Amino acid sequence: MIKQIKNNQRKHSFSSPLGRLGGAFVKFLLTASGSITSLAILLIVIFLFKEGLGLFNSPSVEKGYALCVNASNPIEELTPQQIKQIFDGEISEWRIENGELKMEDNSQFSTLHSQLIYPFRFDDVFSIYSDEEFGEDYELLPQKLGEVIAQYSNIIAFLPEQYLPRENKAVKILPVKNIRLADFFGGKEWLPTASPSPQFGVLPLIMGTMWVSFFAILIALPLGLGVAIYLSELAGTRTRNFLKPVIELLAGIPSVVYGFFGLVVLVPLIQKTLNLPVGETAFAGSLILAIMALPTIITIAEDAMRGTPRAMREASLALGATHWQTIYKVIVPYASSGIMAAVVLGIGRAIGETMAVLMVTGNAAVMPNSLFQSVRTIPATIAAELGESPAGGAHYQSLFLLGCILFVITMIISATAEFISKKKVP
Amino acid sequence: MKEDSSKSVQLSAKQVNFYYGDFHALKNINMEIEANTVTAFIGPSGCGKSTFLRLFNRMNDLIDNTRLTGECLIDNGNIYNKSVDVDDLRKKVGMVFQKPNPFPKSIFENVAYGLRVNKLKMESGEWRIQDKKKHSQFSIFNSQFESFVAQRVEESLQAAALWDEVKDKLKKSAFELSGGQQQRLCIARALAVSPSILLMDEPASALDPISTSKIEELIHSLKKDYTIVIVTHNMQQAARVSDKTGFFMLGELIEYDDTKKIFLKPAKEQTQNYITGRFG
Repeated sequence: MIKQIKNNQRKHSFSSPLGRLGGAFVKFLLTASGSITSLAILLIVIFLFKEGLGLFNSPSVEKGYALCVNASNPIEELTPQQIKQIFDGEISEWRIENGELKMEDNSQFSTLHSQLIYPFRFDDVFSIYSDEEFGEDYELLPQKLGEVIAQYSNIIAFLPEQYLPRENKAVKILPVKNIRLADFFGGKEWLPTASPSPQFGVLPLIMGTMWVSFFAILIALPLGLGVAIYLSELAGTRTRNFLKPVIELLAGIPSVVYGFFGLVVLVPLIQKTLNLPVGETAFAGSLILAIMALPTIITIAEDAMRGTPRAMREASLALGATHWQTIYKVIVPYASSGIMAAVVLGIGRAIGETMAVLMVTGNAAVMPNSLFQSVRTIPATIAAELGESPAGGAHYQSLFLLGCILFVITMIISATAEFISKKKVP
Repeated sequence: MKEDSSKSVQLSAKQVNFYYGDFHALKNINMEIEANTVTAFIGPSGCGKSTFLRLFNRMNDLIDNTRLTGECLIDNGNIYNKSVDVDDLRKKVGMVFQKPNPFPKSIFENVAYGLRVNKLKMESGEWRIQDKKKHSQFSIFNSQFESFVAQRVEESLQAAALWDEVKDKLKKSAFELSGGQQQRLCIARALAVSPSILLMDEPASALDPISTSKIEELIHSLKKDYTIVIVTHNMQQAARVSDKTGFFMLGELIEYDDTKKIFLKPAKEQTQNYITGRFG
């Protein structure tokens, strides 16, 4: 009987052929928009990871270059870090110890067994030979390079692939290795434009992001929840009706404006009051991020707490609980999933925020060991460097990989929040 | 024995007027309710019976822009005096709401809630002193308190005729119970803080007939220890459970008398019309 009525109703609502067509069309539109959106997001993620993971197929030295040593040299391969240190003069000698190759820096005194390294760049060849000696079209260049390498047993030469002295038996060309996972995730140096071997150590960036975000949340969370509790429980109707829209308005201010404010007001203030050499610190970033995350946290947490059924409040108060007890024993636990959402969105904003942080943190890609130090975050790195990295190059790919890391971090946070709010014991 | 105790007036209202903003919700109400009786308030929706009930634990304080004139007395003290601690008052006057509203906690913690929130405040009485500053006493006291809570929870659940059904799943969520069980849980929760008065705002309106009859039996058995005031839309229920009945209409107390009299020989025509179902 009821089924029949329902059927009749359904028939009725699409009774005319035009109406039925319209209904089908709307249904199709809704389905299409849903699938297109999901597909677009999926494609973005796939693109991100495809480009990012390409980094591990890139050579660890500058593209089109290779390293050569004298054939008598025991070195078989070098890590990107070693290459960088050798050409920076941080490693100046090596020696063989128990059949193993050891690298040593300047501070070590030379022993009998150690041998000085002679780092040789391509340009150096022009100071050894005059231009005429290379022939008309530099066709003798590889030969001359070969001579140089054959001459010095301790040479490590960084040469373009097209001029490699391949025929010379006294020259050993080191195999060019790809960038490894460990170089990327374990490296402590972010020097993506270094020559001969760019350094893609992502640790300082991750740490920078973590420091800035963590302290931002540390500031914003108690403050935001406090304001949310005040607004939902203590403030009068008029105060709330004034404050809530104002706070919501703050969420709409462009981040570059916050960044500008931070740069002009906060940074000098921090520098002066704390007597620091530079005011552009992780602390400044945290403060700005906290201010930016506050409206989100306040609005969502307040909504969640106001959404606590009146019956819950009344039940608690009717048992003789005070207003405060009701707030922290009933309202906050009841609203906990909403509060969790507020926290996650706040953290998401803090981790993903780019412009403001870029402007106030000083952008020094070093491992932070203090809050009052310049740091560089992942989003700021992407924004600052993407413009100057050649498309398809290792630098470019590394920036995409940074994007992937950001994506994974926010995913983990959301998943954790989901897990916690589901686990909530009633 | 019972007759003697029921003679004393426990709740009374003197010339009570109540306003929601400009709306005059209660008009000059006078009423006396004796201890250890069940009093039912009946009347059409919006007649002010719930508003009147909620005056006695000052629940109406939570609503903005309301005004009260006249006096509400419990044990001869005006509960709207400035010196009255509202939280203490509400401990003495328990309340059960229209819809079951257990907290999102376990069954045990729902009943224990009132004890836990009040333990810091009880200055004298059997389960007092929780001196947070004296840590040495804290742990000893805490274990005593916990055993007291466990005992009180069991007593309350037994009094609410729910113990046998939930004793094996006290740690389970209160939301796993049926609607009728949840409502009895709410009653147990109210009983746990040992109130002397129990206000019930249509406690069975959201329940099925079997659960309703259980609640009604419960009201009968609670009468010897508590003064019960119940708001109901169900006239049979009022007739079954109450000793006295008040009939409200449009914010006025039309008639207040023994239940038998109200239902068999009402003095006013409006009452007659209402209980015979001519309107409402």
